[in-house]
Amino acid sequence: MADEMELDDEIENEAIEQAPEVNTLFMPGQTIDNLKALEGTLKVVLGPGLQIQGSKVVVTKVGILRFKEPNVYWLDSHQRRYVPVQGDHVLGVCSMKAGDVFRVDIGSNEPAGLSYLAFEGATKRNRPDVRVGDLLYAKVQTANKNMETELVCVNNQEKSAGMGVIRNGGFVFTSPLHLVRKLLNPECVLLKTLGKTLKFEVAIGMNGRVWVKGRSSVDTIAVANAIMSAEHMTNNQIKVMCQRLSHVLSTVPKEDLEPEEVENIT
Amino acid sequence: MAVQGAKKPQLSKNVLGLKFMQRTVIRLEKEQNADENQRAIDDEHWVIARPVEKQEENLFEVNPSYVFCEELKFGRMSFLGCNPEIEKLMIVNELDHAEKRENEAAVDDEEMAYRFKNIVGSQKLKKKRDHMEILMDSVHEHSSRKKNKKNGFKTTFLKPADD
Repeated sequence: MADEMELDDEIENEAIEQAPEVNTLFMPGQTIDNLKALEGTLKVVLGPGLQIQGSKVVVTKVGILRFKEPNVYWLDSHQRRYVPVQGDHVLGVCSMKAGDVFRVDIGSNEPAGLSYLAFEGATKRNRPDVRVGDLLYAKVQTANKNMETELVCVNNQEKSAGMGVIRNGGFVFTSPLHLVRKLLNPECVLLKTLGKTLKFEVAIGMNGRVWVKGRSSVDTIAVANAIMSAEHMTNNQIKVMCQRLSHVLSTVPKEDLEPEEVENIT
Repeated sequence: MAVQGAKKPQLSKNVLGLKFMQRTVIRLEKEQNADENQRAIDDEHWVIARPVEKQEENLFEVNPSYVFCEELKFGRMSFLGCNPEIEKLMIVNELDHAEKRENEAAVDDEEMAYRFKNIVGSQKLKKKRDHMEILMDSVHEHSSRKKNKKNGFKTTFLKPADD
């Protein structure tokens, strides 16, 4: 996957005669001068890891510079610490009920606030049923370094669209942020391949938390392990692993695969 | 209330309290307020004079979201009917995404209109009779093509002119 991307980008660079060092390593503090957009676009979009200081573009993370047509540059970095970004879907745990907001731990520097009105069908009278310790899948509404992070559980059409409290067991684990991005990349085959043989459900938060629920606890553990070990695998290696996994699971005795209640572990 | 600096003679409170002095009272109040406002503005006028040099920033736009940059998918997924609601959502998202890609690749409306104008415009104002002639011509051509085939002449599709 990475190789293909590199090739594409190289061809792209030659075509438009620009020389930003796309697909090379950058360190924090380095400046990049020659970022260019393709013709027909006005602005260059700077993604995560790039910052404007005065008239210069400064790198703020360790990582590889990536480019997407027509005008997007960002730094592909490895990190485990989550910094909230507006629009991210995150997996959090309700840690406190404080008046009209819930405090939700999303693994960032401070707990985020979630208004009780930001649920589908919620009114002042009809409060959502969220208890302390509940797992929540929510969207970051405001993310500002000077203000508290704010979450919502509805989209702009007031629909839940997969967000809200997640109940009925399952297993939560924390993974590096780049692994989460890999799982959600349209080119990654891991979940699709697992889903061909295993019946399971996942909720992946951009904050690095992953919730998995399989038919039985054996399945759940299998999927969780598969995700955790896929961090440095290529698509082909992932396919091989999934084959082996489904083969092994087919040998597990049936009584072990009985559905059972699993407590939330966070 | 009626203090107007030390030099000016002042009217006493008692005098100002009289009914016919009310207009004077209002005028004096106004003057005082104006003075105070002036002072407030003067204080705020101390601003650091900085050279304006932020034109280059307009070249860049910051979007710190990986979801946007890497076109990441929605994070909730379900397989083999584990959660039908989520699976419905996945299908909807997939369709949306496919539509977006199609729109990018497809001929856009303007180009379509332009091409259509070129094709249709030439025959638009012709009379019905002309249409019939064109039709007949095409039928004739069709039959001649058949003949060509019989003769071993290979017919090919002609690419329409691009302008």
